[in-house]
Amino acid sequence: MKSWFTKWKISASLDAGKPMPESLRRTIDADPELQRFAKRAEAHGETLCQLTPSGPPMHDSIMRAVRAAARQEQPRRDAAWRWWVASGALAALTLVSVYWTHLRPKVPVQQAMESPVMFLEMSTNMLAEMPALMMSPLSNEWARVDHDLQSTTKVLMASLP
Amino acid sequence: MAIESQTISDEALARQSQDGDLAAFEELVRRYENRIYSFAFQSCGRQADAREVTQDTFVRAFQAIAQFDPGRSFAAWLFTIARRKGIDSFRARIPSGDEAAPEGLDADDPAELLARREEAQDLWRRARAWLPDSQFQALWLRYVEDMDISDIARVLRKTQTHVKVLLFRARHKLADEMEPSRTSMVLSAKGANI
Repeated sequence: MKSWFTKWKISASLDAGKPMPESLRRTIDADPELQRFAKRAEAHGETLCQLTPSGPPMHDSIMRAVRAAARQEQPRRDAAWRWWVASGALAALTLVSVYWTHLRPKVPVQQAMESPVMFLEMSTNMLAEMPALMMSPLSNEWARVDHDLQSTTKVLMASLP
Repeated sequence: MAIESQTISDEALARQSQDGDLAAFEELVRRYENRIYSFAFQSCGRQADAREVTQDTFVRAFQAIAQFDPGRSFAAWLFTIARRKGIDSFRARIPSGDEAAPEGLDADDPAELLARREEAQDLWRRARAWLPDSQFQALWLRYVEDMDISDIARVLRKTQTHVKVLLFRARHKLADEMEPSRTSMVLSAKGANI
């Protein structure tokens, strides 16, 4: 167990890339098995470092694939941009419709009756349908207009050959 | 635009790539293609597969370059992609070990250096045969890529303590297997089988 723990410390010091502490060095010196392990681990590390990564010439094929990916990527980005704009517009339209249909504040009936638009929409027999009380301030004026109209009619009839 | 200086860090090149500079990405490909290929080849043992994984790794890296954080190590990020691509590609396969390891491109090495490289290739082949994937990859990233424990942990998606355990077990296994008496026993047993 002690030997295993010391081997672990040897391995950890190799991981750190620092020289082994003096206390660890003394422990190793006192045990031939630990000496063998430390020597082998160090030697293997030095040997394993010697490998230089190498490979077949493949730079051109890699770059061809990368450029092809770049070409595919561009239309995808454009499509994504269009999709976001279209979906944003659709969402805005939906919100406006919902607001207009359900959430818009309703104008009370009495206020609506006072609006000029409602007056315009009234039928031509408005005067007849209106209550007499409401019409009384206008009745004299209406009578004068009616009289003028009849006089004009008479003058026009008289002037006819 | 050509990348003139070799002194630009990988992370700075990655940042330029994020801005759409394809030449910067090409320089990253130049720096890493052999490293990724070797890593993939050592994992799968097939040159065609290693080539495919290398290509897929760079294409994926290009597509995902916007997600790279330039404050972190580019090597660790790229090897994380390579490892995932390797897993996707080799999940159901067993390394054949039939093909020889790729030869170095530089033929001007002195004899001693060449001998040491052959020794290294031999040791890596043995490590490939003896060690589980995770231990082998931890060892590779530590010694060939010279990554520190935190970067290895990032690539392998493990805690730093777990990586230390993997490296300890790998060293222990290699030391045990390379014991002269044991090696000769294995060899004689193989000879008896033949």
